[in-house]
Parts: sequence; C-alpha cells; structure tokens
Amino acid sequence: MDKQTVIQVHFKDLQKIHPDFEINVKGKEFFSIQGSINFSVEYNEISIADGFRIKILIPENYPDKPPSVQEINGRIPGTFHTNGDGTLCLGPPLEVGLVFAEEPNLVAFVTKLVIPYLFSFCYWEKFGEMPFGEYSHGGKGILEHYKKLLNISDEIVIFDFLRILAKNNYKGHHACPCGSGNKLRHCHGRIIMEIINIQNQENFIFDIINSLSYIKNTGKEIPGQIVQDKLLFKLIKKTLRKLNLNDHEQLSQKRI
Amino acid sequence: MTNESQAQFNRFLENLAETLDIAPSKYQQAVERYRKIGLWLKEVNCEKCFDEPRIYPQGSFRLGTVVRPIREGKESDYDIDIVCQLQIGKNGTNPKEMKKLIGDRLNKHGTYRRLLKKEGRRCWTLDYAEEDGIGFHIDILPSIPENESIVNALVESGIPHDLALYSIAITEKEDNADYSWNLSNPEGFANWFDQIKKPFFEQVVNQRKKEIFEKNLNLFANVDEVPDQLVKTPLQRAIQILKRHRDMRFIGHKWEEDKPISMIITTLSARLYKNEPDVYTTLKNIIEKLKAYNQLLNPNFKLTQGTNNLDLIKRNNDGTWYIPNPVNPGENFADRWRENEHRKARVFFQWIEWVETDIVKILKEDDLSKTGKILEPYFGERIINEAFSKTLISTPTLLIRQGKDLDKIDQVKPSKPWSF
Repeated sequence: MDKQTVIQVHFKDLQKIHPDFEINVKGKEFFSIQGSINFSVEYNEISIADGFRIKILIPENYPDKPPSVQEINGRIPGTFHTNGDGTLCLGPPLEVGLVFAEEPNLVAFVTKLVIPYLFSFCYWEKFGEMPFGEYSHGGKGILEHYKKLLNISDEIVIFDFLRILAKNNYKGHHACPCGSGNKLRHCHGRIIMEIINIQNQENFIFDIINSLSYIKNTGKEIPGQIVQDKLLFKLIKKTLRKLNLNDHEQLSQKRI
Repeated sequence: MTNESQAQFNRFLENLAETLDIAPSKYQQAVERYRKIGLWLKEVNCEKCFDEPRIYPQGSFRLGTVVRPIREGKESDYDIDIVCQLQIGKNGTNPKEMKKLIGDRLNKHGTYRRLLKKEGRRCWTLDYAEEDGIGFHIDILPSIPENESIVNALVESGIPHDLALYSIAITEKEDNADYSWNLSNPEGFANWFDQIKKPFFEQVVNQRKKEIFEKNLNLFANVDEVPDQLVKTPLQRAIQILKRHRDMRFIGHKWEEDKPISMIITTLSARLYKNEPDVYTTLKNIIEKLKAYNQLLNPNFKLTQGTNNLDLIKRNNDGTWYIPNPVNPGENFADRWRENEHRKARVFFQWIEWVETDIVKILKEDDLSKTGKILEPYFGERIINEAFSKTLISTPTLLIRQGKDLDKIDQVKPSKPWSF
C-alpha cells in the first residue's frame, strides 16, 4: 500500500469511532485530520468523561513516524505540556515513537497517546495534580526517560549508551556499558536496536546536547568520557552549525 | 499473589510463547518455500493420477503450535511438515512406487536434488539453510486418499464424517526395506483442533489480524492475507510453552529418549481446553486435570470423581496404555508406554509434576524478574530475556471507552507527559 492509501485506511478506521472527523488535503503530500474526541476514562476508581476538538498533523514519513496533535478550542494552556508550535507534548519523543511503532495507526495513536494525555489534563484541571506523574522538563526529563527505558539509574552509564546512539556506533560484540560483563547483543543490545529504529542519529545528538545542558545548569561536571570523546564533539558542533545555532537553548524547540 | 501480578505473569507467558513461536516473516518464508515445492510436484510423472496432487501443511505448522526446536542443547532449524497427496486409488499403485514417484520428481529439480536428504521412513526431507542462519527442514509426506471402506469404518466407530473423510494412506518403509500402507489423518486432526479453539479464535481474529497486518506491512498486501495460523489462542500458547519446557527439561536426562511426544501433549491439551481466556489459567487447568490421572500408575487404581467422565488416558487390564488419536481410534499415541516397566508412563506423569512446580506454582513469586530467573533453565536465557523485556514493567493502567465504540474498553499503559 502506498502512503496515501495507508492514511485513508487509518482515517476511515478512526472515523468509525469518531464520526465527525474530517480529512484536509493540502497539495499532494500533507494531510491533517480534525474532529472531536469524546471519551470516558477510568483510573484508580476515578472516572472522567470529557471531549476535545483536536487536529492531528500527519508527518511526511507517516506511518514510520508518529503524527503530532493540537487542541483547537484553546482549553489547554501553553503552560501545560505543550511544544513551542502549539502541539501537545504527549511524552518524550522517543517514548512516543516507541509506543506508536507498536501499532502504527491513527486509532491506536488516539487511544494510547492522545486520550491518556487529555485524561491527565482533565485530572490536573480537577485535582491540581498529574495522575501518573510527569517527566521533568528538558534534558532532565530526557535522562529520566532513558533511565526508565534502560532500567539503569547511573547517569554516567546513561551517557555511555547515549554516546553509542549519537555516534551510530552499535557493535553487538562490545561489552555492555551497564557493567553486566555480557556482550551488548546478549544484554541491552535488544533495546538499543529497537530505539535506533525509532529516531535518527541527529535526534540522539539532540538528546545528548539537552542532557548535557541540564548537567551544566545544575553545576555538575560533564562526565569525563564525554569530554574526551572527540568524535562526539565534532558531531555536536556539526549539528549545531547545520541548524545555524550557537547555543543549545535555541535548539530545544527543534526536532527533526 | 495479586490480580495485577497474575495479569503481569500472564502477559509474560504470552510473550514467552510468542518468542518461542515462528516469526510472521519466517512463517511467510516457509509458506513460500512449500508453495514452490507444490508447484514443482504438480508435474509429478503419474499417468494414473486423475488430478494434480494436493499439497498442504500438517503438524505444528498447520496447528499454529510451532516451537523452535532444540538439538544438541541448542536452538535449531524449524521443522515444517507438508503432505503431498497424489490423486490415485490404493488399488492403482503400491507404497514403494508411489513414494518413488515423488522422490524422482524432487530429484529432477536442480536445487531440491541438492537439498534432499536420504529417504526417511515416511517422508522425503529437504534441508534449507537460510541466509539469516535460521533454516528449515521441510518434511514432505507422500500419501494418497484412504479407501472409502476404511473411512466408513471410522465413521461407524464414532468419528464424525466431516473429519474421517480427510483420511489418507501414507507409506512406511520397514527396516528390511519392505513398504506398507498406514492410515493417517493430519488434516482431520487439524480440523478437530480448529473446532476446539474456534470460540476463542473467532472473538479475537479480526482485531489480531489487523494488528499483525499493521506490524508487518511489508509482508501482507491486506488484512485478509494474514493466515489464521498467526492468530493464537491460549490453547496454542499453552501447548508451545509445554513443548519447550519438555525439550529443555529432558536435555541430557537419563529419560530423554522417553520424553512425552508432541502429539500426546497437543491432543490432551486440546481435549482439556474449555475456552479459558488466558494462558496461565489454561496451563493450570490442563496440568491439574492430567495430574489426577497419575493414579493410573498404581495397578490397583480406581479413578476418582472428576476423571472418570473423561477417558483421556486409559490403562487396560493387560497393562497397556491407550491415548487415541481423536480422528483415528486405531492409532494409539501411548502404544509404547508399557515397555520397560511403564517407563514412558512414569516419565509422563513426572513431567506433569515438573510443569506444575516449574510454571504453575511459581506464581507465588511476586517479582517478575525473579520469576524470569527461575524459568531460565526451562526455556533458555535468550527466550526469557526477550519475553521479559517485552513485558512492560508494571505501570498504571487506564480503562478507556471512546466515541461510538462505548462497549469496547481499551486497557492502556499511559506515557508520562514531558516538555522543555
């Protein structure tokens, strides 16, 4: 199936559940989908029913990459988890990518990512707290996500993994950075291979830059293995130059 | 043992069986291989045949209970069984000639001649080494339709006509190089098995096929192309887990030669399956019921209530054992159980107890990573690690109803929001 057909099929499946959704075609390539989502969610004996109007933006490389989504009626303030361009921040991009890759279609996207997000917003509106927590902002949250993903708490070790990802330098026979004594392929190799399919090298470089900027801001020292990694530094500089940025603060809103 | 940890253990078992299973891409590769063999065998030099041969899968490949085999302690190539049924009456040929026709045709193909192994007792085997290092042994079973009189006799003995009619005659090469006919019915068996799993299968088939299709967009042109065999019920998952446990548990054991055969595991599990909705309950019920039959080991046995209305395993007055093929009562899967002072029977019931200790009772352990460690010797390190990483570490669950689909409830593990 070509991309257009895939989108049509996924859209029709979504329409079966949420019938007022409409599809907008811009030119040949770009699609967005707009309509109302009504839901009721039960969580820990609390039940919330609500509805939102949303716009789902289909990226060029759909369904390899997940869509992004905006709330149209302006109910969700910019101070809640949103990106600079007004799209909702459903989770760390890598996590969103992993969840979407399990079932890359619009119904699953709405069910697994959009509704849980809208539910946590409603819950927050009602009770003033996040029902299942939130990641910290910026680089700190990115590091938290990698910790959860790799099941490792030591930031120094996380940076060892990030160096492999940012340099696109996975070798199954190398020792696993987690210190298990096993080769990567028999240890964290599987999860690394999964992650590599979700986002490209440049985004891993962004993740390093953002994580480092968090480390710097807290006054901690940049880990030695990063400082000594000349290839990594070259890649970071090249990435910043390519985007015409000198400074990682400006970078934070940009993702490819 | 909380409900949450039982649910989690269930997901773990589900993932475990999926990891043991043949991957959809590998399954499709096997299908492609056997279809090509089928096309080649159409031109078999059989003047008396009144139609092209029928080629169809049988055994675990047909039942959807494939498990990656263990040979010499290592994970090995998949076994794929197919039937090549020549359309000719029993009176029009003899076993030796019929088997040779198929062997000759395979030998005429440049590749198949190279892959063909020495003639087996019943089959011709092609050995495929594949680029990804995971090969296939494709066993081709030469056969012809069974005589009408035998089919009628089966129906009289109580086998439903719509199963008995698939009976075939297969060949058996004896040690003295004589050939004989044997009755078999792999297709009838598969249809019998399908009937048992049908209620659960029909509940999930549309949703599951859609998921499989979306995960494998490069394999299937549309949802309808996803084969039924890739949609699994708890019965199939339980059988896969039992088979792998058996393979691993008996490696290097003095009873390795006497370990339970797959047909016994498959038949008894299917007869005991009552549409349990999950793998754990399925396994637990199967093992509990089979365990009650170990009273048969005592020669003065009397079956207690609960077992006497289900004659799954019989011990006759002469000491022989009887586990019939459900589509051919003449075939006794337990025909060798009396040998060596009932060794195979004793090994079977010992194994049932092992399964109970190793898998069913382990649930007392609340920590899944500990459970994984305990299970490692029975399933292999790679399999356990993979199943473990597939099983989400316990996170909150949302129950979601949406839009027009208010009857459907999705269970979702939410992501936590994040932003700069």
